[in-house]
Amino acid sequence: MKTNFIWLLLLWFVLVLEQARVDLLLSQSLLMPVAVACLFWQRNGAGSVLAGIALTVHWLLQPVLAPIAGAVVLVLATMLIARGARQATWSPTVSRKSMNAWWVDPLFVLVVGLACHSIVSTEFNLQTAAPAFLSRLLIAIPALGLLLFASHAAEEFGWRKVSQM
Amino acid sequence: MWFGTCTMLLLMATVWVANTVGYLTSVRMALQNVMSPARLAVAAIGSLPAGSSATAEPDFTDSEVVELQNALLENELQRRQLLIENARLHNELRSTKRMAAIEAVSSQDLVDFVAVKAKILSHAGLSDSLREAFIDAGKAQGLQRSQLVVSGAGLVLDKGTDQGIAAGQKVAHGTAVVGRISKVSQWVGLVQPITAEDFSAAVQIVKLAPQGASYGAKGLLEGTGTGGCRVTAIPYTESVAVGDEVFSADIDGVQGPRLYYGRVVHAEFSAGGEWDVRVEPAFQADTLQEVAVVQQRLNTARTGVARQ
Repeated sequence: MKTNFIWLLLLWFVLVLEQARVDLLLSQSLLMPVAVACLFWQRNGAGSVLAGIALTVHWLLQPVLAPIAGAVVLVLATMLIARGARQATWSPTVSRKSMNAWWVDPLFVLVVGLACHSIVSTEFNLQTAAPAFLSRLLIAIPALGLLLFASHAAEEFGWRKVSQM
Repeated sequence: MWFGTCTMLLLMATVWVANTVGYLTSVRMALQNVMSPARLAVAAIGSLPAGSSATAEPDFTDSEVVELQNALLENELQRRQLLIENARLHNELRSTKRMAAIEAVSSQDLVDFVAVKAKILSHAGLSDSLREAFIDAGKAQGLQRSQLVVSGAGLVLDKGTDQGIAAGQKVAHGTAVVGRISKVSQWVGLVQPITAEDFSAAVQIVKLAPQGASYGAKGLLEGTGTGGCRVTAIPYTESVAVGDEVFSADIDGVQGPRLYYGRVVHAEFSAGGEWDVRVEPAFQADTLQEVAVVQQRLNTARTGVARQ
């Protein structure tokens, strides 16, 4: 419950920050990494709901063609988390391929989500979408890296209990 | 987790549909209001000069601080209005693109608009001499008085029900709306000018910007009875400025060619939260000699095919 509340506060703060400084922050460049980090930190339905609400509210405040990026992020993250949970299940008879590095899945979700958002927000004009996508990545990747590092460190030091779905 | 994700996907789809239909404008405003204090705080912190801190003594006097706060709030209000306008224009652009694709495969219009030219017999109602002449001529044909004369002030046209003129039809000079047919007899029609007190029509404001014209707020144009017009029922979230042009929103409730009403000469946002918009009509009634009555007609080619 405390974790949900902290993530709610963090998402709200980031939402406000993006709305307040539209001159400095491209839309979704900060909110999306935080939403992705929330999904991969929580790894449960509450994370999906929190991230989904934040992305929907953001779309409502700055509407583009359709909230495709938010939907893509939610579906992709859920798929990858569900797959990771299956792979983590130990079985004496089945040999499974080792999981990806801990940072690959969130980064993949973020890149795909931002690419979708850049394309949709420029109404499928790829020439404009490409530089906007790169600019968003410049902000989003460090932000996601910081949150993932905090998440990983919390796991390593035993401050965070890893729950499975 | 899939349950949470599917719920959120459903929420997103619902919000998207509701936003497309236009149900979420008030929700968006409410969200903006909820976020305003925090956003202003963040903006204020972010605008501090480098090297200073939030606890540093300000260099402004109290009156300057109040002025700046007022300016900030005004900017915030303006920003919200622009945000909503921007979203609405995005929606319009999308629907226009869709309509363009539809029109590309459709053939003829079902309803055509035609202009029936009419000369102005009088600028101040039917004169007594004409009235008597009509009654005399009508008696010979077995017509009653009520079928021959129209009473009231306004422009009298030399066209009546014989030429398909009917009450409610718009009367225009070029593309500028002069008024509406208020009464009609066999041979003449009486025009209620747009400046008359009882006149009202649905209009839309068109804003002129360096990058091109764009549709603005819709409202109701009413005559003031003193030679001018005003536009009412404009939402407080819309923006109106002096110099904006006013066009018809529809013709007798049917979408058709946009007719011109005039130019905004006064636009003030009152303390009560309502717009006070005054419009200067695009014509001078005294100089008019001939006008056109706009009529809608069904495309006989299409209705004929439909019957077969």
